[in-house]
Amino acid sequence: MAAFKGIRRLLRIRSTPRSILREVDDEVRFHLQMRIEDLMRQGHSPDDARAGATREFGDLSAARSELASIDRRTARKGEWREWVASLGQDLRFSFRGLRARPAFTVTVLLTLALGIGANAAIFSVVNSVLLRPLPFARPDRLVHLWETYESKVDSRSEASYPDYVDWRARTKTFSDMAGYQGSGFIFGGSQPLTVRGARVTANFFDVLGVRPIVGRTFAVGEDAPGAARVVLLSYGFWQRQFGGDRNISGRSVTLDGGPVTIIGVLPKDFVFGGRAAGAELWAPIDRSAQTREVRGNHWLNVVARLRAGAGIQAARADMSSVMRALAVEFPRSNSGRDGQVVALHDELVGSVRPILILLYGAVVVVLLVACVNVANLLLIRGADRQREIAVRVALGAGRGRLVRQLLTESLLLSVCGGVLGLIVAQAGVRSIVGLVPARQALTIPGLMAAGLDTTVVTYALLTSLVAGLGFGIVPAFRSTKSALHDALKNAGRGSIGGASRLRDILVIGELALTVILMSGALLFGRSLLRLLSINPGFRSEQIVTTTVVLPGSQYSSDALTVAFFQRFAERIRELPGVESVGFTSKLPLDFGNSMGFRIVGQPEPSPENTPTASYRLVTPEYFRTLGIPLVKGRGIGGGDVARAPAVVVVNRAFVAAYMGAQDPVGQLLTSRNDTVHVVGVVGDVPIGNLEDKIPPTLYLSFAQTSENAMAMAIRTRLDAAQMAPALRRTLASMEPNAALTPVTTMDDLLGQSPSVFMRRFPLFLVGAFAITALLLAIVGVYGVVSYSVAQRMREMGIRTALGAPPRSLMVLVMRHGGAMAAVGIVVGVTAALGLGTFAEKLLFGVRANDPLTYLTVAAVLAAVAVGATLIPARRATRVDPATALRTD
Amino acid sequence: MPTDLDLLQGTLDTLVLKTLSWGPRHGYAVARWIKATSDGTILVEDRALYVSLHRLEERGWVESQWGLSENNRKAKYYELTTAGRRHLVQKAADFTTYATAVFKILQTA
Repeated sequence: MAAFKGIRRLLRIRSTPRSILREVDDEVRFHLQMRIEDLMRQGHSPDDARAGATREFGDLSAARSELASIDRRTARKGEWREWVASLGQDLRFSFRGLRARPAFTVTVLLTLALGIGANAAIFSVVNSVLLRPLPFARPDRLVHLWETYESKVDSRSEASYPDYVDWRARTKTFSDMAGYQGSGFIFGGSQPLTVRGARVTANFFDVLGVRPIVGRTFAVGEDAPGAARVVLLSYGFWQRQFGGDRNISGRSVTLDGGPVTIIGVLPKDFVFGGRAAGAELWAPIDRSAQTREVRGNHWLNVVARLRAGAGIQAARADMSSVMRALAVEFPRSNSGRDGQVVALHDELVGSVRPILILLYGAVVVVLLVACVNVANLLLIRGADRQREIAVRVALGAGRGRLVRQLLTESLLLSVCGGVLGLIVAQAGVRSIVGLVPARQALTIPGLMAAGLDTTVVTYALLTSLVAGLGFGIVPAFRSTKSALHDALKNAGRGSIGGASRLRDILVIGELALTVILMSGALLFGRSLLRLLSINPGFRSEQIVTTTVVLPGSQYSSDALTVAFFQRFAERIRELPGVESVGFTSKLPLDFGNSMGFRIVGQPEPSPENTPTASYRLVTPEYFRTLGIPLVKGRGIGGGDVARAPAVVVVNRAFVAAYMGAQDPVGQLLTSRNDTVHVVGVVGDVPIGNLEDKIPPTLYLSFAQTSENAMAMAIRTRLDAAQMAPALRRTLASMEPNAALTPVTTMDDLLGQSPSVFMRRFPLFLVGAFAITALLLAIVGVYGVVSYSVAQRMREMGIRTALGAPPRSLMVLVMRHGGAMAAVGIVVGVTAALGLGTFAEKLLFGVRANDPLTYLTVAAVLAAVAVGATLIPARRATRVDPATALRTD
Repeated sequence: MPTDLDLLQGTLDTLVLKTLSWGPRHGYAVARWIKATSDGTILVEDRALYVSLHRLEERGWVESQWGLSENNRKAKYYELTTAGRRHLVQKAADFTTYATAVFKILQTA
């Protein structure tokens, strides 16, 4: 009975709106006729019978349309049910088919899991860093403001406080602006911690539109000199240090050696990054009058919110006109200075955007290679299934039905691959984020939050579907087309020509894509080598470093600070394993401040041409400890103390920029009201980025101008972990309120510096992608060549029988791989050259069209492609003519 | 004197399903059977009957198929599905419980 119904359903002709209405009419007509006959049999006249039957029936035309509309619904439901049923059938069939070929299925699933997983992992970073809006109100309306100027050191700077005040008062395109400055704090009383933080103007969180989750943000006037000291906590710091206590507001804690009141906690998703990287404590800006009143003192980073209706162009014009007016009013400090307006999102993530886009491009290429490989496997499998497909055609399956069956199989594969890919992505995101040194990671808002959320999972599944359609559609049509042509007629062989050419084209595409990735990886690799081979001008090996921070409230005078660091240096020098120790306000590679000065005896320059130089404070042993060579004169000496005449040591870049042919030693420089003697010249050491031009630099004597936070460089054979406990112990015994930043080595700092990271990060990832693509390409070449050898067994047999030496058969097969590689290389190199200009800015010391790179890639790829044909080539020579000719 | 019973849709559906429980029938046979079995007590417009049949089909409780009638005419036959049979058993039980309760209340008065 059930089987009977099944056949009935199978044979039922599709209902159309017309046929439905006709059937309703037929049914009603039959009813009326029967009733009329019954009534006439009971003795009614034909007219009476007709009238009676119609009356009993009710409204005929209403019934007609009502019944038809019910039937239309029924038909639609039936079609849907049948569609679902046949989909279930297709799925079951696909599943059985895939289980029957485990090697094929596992290969495809692993390929797809890698391709989709890597893709989703990079996408989650792209999404979190580039696509997701910053965690502020209307973040697209926020901008970052800078001052720009021409100098030998830098071309843009922070604002001075008086400039900021004038910007706020005079500009018309901003609804408000606020200032901030990254800062370190010493938190807690005994055994204090160094904590990253920032100092901000009182309106900072109002401008960003950030509301605290506990307590309040700063009130107007809390950044004024003399106001009570208050601090805001980040969510993470609140959780770690206070266990998320909601009654935290009003509690007094020790910060930088003095009491301060906690007023609130910032939301969990709040991060700023950039110059306030990793900030966990937020306090009002420095209150000392000196930092606020001097217009030449540039230290305040400024964020602003555009007024409704004002665009960034209008803001730029507005800033420029205000800066021009200030230059006229304050020529000594402001001439030659202009303003710069940058969208806040660009300011914070602009530096990593090209890298992320490049990585996303690379990972899309990997997915393409993966899809091409799967498409090839499906084509080969389709060719093997010709007979099965032909049988189904013979049994009456339409082409559309067959295509759908094959596509269902592709989609089943791709969705399963996508789900496995999510596991790969989960591991991938962690390792990608882990590759970023903490110092860099904290500057990029959103990076640490990257992970698998609903957006990424949706993306991965959509990618799977698109990939499934992409790699499935051509094989599906191709397999069924030849099946229709050759149904049951020698089905195994008929289709070789067209399908094998398509397979070759796919492999060529795969090889070309691999060339692009390999070239990229090699270019980054060579950039990194060039970068690491730069002589940094000092000996970075065997240097342990950390920064000592003294509580400002206790060490308020230069004398106290200098005395402390001198005693501390003596104690460190006595520690076992220490050769020498030097202090500096900024280590090499740290950006620092710069100052303007005049050279006594040279004509007074116009205000905008005032010479500037980067400067740092050092102790006498600093140059010797870092191995910075003395070129001329003397270094900073033990006698260069507060009472003695002020001295300065300059670098070679300084001499080249400002001294001309004069002997620098003995020259006098004046800056503000101080005069310093140039006593010596040392070698150049990078400031900021390793690859940047080294700016003129001044080294001042620490004993003559002290600071509370000093970096320490220790030359020792011990490593950072061995050195750290002794350093902490010594510091705690001398000053329990002082803090140490994490102890590290100079080599690690070099390795984690942005310049190295910006090459090493893409090198690792693009390199990994290139290797993946290369492996996939090997599988692709191997698969296609061995399949073609299997198809040509008979031909090989005949050749052997006719006396062809095995060698010539091998050449025949290997030439197939070689030809595909040759075309793939030409296409790939052409494409890579075209794309290279995009990556040019990320490279260092090597051009994007570097011939050696492309030659290397071409050689490797050709060797690998031909190598992949070795096994099938050997197989071709072992064909026994008799067996080959006997197989059907 | 036949009572004018205003049949609820659900009740009519149940009666139609019952009519089909002995085997496939066409619409006219269903109408005739209901009229005869209820001794003319239950008067239904034929239109309502057909709406009921078609809706039962939409819900999957009956299936229809064209066939030949007893006098060799093309007629649409309706047949209970398994789901329809299950539904009928359930409805019949519900209705009996309900009617018994109503009858009991009316008797005690």
